[in-house]
Amino acid sequence: MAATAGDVNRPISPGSLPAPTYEPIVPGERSTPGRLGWWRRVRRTRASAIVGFCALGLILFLAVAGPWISRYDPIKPDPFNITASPSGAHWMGTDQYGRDVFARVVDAARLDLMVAVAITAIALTIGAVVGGLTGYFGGIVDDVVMRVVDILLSFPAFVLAIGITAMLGNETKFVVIAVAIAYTPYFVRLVRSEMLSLREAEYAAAAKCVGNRRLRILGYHLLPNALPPALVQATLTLGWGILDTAGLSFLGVGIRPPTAEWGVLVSDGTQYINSGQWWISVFPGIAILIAVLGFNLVGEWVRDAVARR
Amino acid sequence: MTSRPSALISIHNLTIAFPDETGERFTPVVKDVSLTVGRHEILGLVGESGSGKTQTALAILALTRPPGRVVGGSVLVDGEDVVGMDEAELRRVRGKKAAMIFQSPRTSLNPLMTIGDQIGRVYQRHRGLGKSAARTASLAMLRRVGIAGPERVAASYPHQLSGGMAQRVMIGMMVACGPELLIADEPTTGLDVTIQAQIFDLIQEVQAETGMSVLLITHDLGVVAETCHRVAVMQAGRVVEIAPVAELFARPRHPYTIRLLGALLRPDQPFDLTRETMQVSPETVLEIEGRHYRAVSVDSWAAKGVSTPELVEVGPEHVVLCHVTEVGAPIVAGAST
Repeated sequence: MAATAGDVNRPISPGSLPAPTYEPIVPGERSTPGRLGWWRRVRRTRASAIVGFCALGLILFLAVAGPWISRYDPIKPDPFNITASPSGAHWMGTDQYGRDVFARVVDAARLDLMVAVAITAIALTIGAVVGGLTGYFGGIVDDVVMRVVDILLSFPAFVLAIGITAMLGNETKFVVIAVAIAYTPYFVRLVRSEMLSLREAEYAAAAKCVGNRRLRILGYHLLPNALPPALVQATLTLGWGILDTAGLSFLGVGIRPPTAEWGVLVSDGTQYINSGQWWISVFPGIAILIAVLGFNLVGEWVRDAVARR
Repeated sequence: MTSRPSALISIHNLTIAFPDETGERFTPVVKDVSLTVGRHEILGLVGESGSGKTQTALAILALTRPPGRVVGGSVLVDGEDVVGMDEAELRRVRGKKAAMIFQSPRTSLNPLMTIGDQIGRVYQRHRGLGKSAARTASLAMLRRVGIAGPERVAASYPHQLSGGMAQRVMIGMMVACGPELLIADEPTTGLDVTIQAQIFDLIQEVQAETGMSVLLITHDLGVVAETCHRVAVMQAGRVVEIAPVAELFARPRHPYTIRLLGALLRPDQPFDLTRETMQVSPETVLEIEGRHYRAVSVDSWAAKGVSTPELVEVGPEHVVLCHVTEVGAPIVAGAST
């Protein structure tokens, strides 16, 4: 522009403004619907999310197809083949009882995924119901529940889970219950806080004024709207659930050997790492890494997707 | 006059109060309000923000938000007092006797359900229609409220609608319930002027067709003049004047009403802040002595020991809130209580 800094009072004449330039409007990728719509979607997805989905896909594939890929029994010992190093016959070697590590890792994938899903389902369900009810109705029950939640949250989840399994006994179902209890408070808090704002929503008032029951408004209209943040939490909890289950088993208070479980497998191999048989611990460790990484990356993606709403 | 037996809604001495932070002292936000909504009538409820219009309307559906509560009076809906009704009894009133549309239509719709689903559910629950019949009825209703392309709108989610469309949908949904009273709480806030006019036209049309009553809450006196049969003016939690529309605009009695009308911009009069009508302070009340009305200050009355103001009949169907002196005693006969 021609105007100098000291010339602020000079009226701006049309001629002193730069001529507007226009970007030519080119029909973009977005506006052309095509058969490859899904591929554009994939390309617009973040790389980390794609890595996450691939990791989960791999674990899921192994869990489902495992028995058809591996020829070995994950439980049966083979005394003639102990601590064999990875080879064409045993892709991940064998452990101190001659069991095929790959067969055990794959078998454990199925158990760990189911345990993680069960933990998350229980924590999410209880969290949604309790958080929804307390957030919507409030009152003294809300106060009591929130104090209990505060107490539970004051323990690290993992320490709480150790305490509960120690109390209940180390069976798979008790591990699930223990870890689920440890994670439920997070869901209760999350759903409750969401519900506190939603119960003031006008569509709640509108639903009420056409004669809906309160429980119906809560369950049918408000809860689905309160859930997205909890779903993000759920994806992350799947990963932490695996980590905690494996952790409990590794410490000997979770799932017990000879059941194939990643934590058990890592624990099995610890005594042999020093003597050079690294594969017994390392491969199940890598499996845990892939699964947890997958859930975390996908969790991040879900979080962003929810935030974009 | 408020106890006409034929009235659909009849509110008597309603007082609604909200507690302060300690929860001990209650501050009344609606004070001793009495008004009626007749059958097939459009009643306008006007007044500034915070004058208790919305709270009065919410009380008809017993939707007063805790911790606020009705601390006195009664709200008769078709002869039944909704104050003190339990949830089960209220469900017979909500939607069936009265329904309400709110200021922001888009947030009055569930963001996760399609428009068609939401209206359809109303038909299923209130009219007992089957799924496909409900869908047909929903599409017909959407067409009725002036939605072009009802099929497309029925399949959309609330965030895909414009404000005006969303308010049409809300009106359709509430009318689908078949209420005897539609409460419209500032239904055009945030809409542009042409859309506002369309929405008020729609409310009038639907009212004429279905014969339901309408309680229209608004700031807009122009809308009131065009749309309503009667008007109730509220100030600071009290109803200060009720009159038929023509009467109110021709002969406003209460100083607040006079000021309100005086604040209206009119093309035929230059706007003049110094005009006498503008100079009445909010504290003034109407004093009645014999047949004369004049504005005096509340303080001067407090000194004389006059306490609660009363609604006094000053014309056919025309009541005004005023303090009645010894001198004016005969006129008390026309008071609501």
